[in-house]
Amino acid sequence: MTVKVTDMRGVDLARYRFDFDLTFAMLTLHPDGHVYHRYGGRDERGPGVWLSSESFEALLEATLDDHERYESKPAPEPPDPAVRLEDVPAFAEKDQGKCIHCHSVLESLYRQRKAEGELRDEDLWVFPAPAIVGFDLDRDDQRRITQLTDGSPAAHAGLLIGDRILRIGSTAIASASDVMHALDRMPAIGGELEIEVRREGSNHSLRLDLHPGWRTGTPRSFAWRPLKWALDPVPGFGGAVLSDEERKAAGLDSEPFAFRIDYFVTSGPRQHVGRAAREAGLREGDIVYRVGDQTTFASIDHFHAWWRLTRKPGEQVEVRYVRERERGVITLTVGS
Amino acid sequence: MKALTLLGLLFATPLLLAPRVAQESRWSSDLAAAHELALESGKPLLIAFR
Repeated sequence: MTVKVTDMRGVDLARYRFDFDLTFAMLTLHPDGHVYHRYGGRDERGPGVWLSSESFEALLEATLDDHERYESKPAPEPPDPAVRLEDVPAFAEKDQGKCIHCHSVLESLYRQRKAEGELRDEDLWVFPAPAIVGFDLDRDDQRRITQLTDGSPAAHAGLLIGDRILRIGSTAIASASDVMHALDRMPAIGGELEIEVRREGSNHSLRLDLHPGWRTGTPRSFAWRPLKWALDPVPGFGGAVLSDEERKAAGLDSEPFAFRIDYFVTSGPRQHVGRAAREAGLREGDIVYRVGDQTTFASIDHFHAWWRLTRKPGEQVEVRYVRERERGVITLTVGS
Repeated sequence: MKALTLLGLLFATPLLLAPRVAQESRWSSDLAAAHELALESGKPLLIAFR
């Protein structure tokens, strides 16, 4: 039985929990609500990093295997109270009754917890990618470990390249999304997580030790997430990244990164930040090539994530730019 | 039976994921109905969020 959901209005976010920042996600379930597996996750490398027909087929095979073995229980209670986004005050106050997109969910939940003064690391560093604990998975066989980082929690646990992960905690694994779901269930203060792997024809049970703060990633790893737009402080301006040729034409061929300012935030609750950036001396068309001590970013999204995750209100940040082939520098006070 | 079910899911899912404006509003509100139908049929559910 296949269902396509394009509007999150009315959807119980606790029952159908997945990485809501994704543009595409799938759950396979027993009709009683038990989730077999998840699919469609990604990391900073891009939305297709774990999408392939081979891995999708493997997910379906795993689902059918689990379904054959599953002993149905009568309508289990959801683990958490039902949560509908339209009932969350941070969303409801702006709700215009239109279609609710998946990417609105985490942003609104974050704003709500912030408004309640109950923000946790788990609300920001959601659905941690396997790289955060030190391993990577094959795109087509997403149980199989293809890379291992020296000194990482995964390496310390004794995981090896070639291991096929069968279970993490109580989560059966058939996809990278399953791995990220299992990690998402671990609190930011850390703890022990049992990992069952298949290695050379036999199963092994290993222990992953996660220390406090383990979930905290980098601005680059966070940059792809729409959730970043909910964070403060903001720079108040942005624009498109220049190509190599455009940087050269601007006299910036020695600079690895530059973007042209094509907007300032001029409306909404953050308009004062955009106004302050203008008053500090920036203009539309300025080409920014260095911000603070950062000489390069992977993308404009990375710049925005970096600012929001690392700058503090009241801090002074130097912004170096080119205007009509003349270099200049201004000092911005990070707005709140 | 398992192979037929797998083929059915593989066939049906790409069709469902293709843009079909007329169907989108119908399916997006039928999660509860889908659960009931799946329970009657004994088949698992595949829910795509897009």
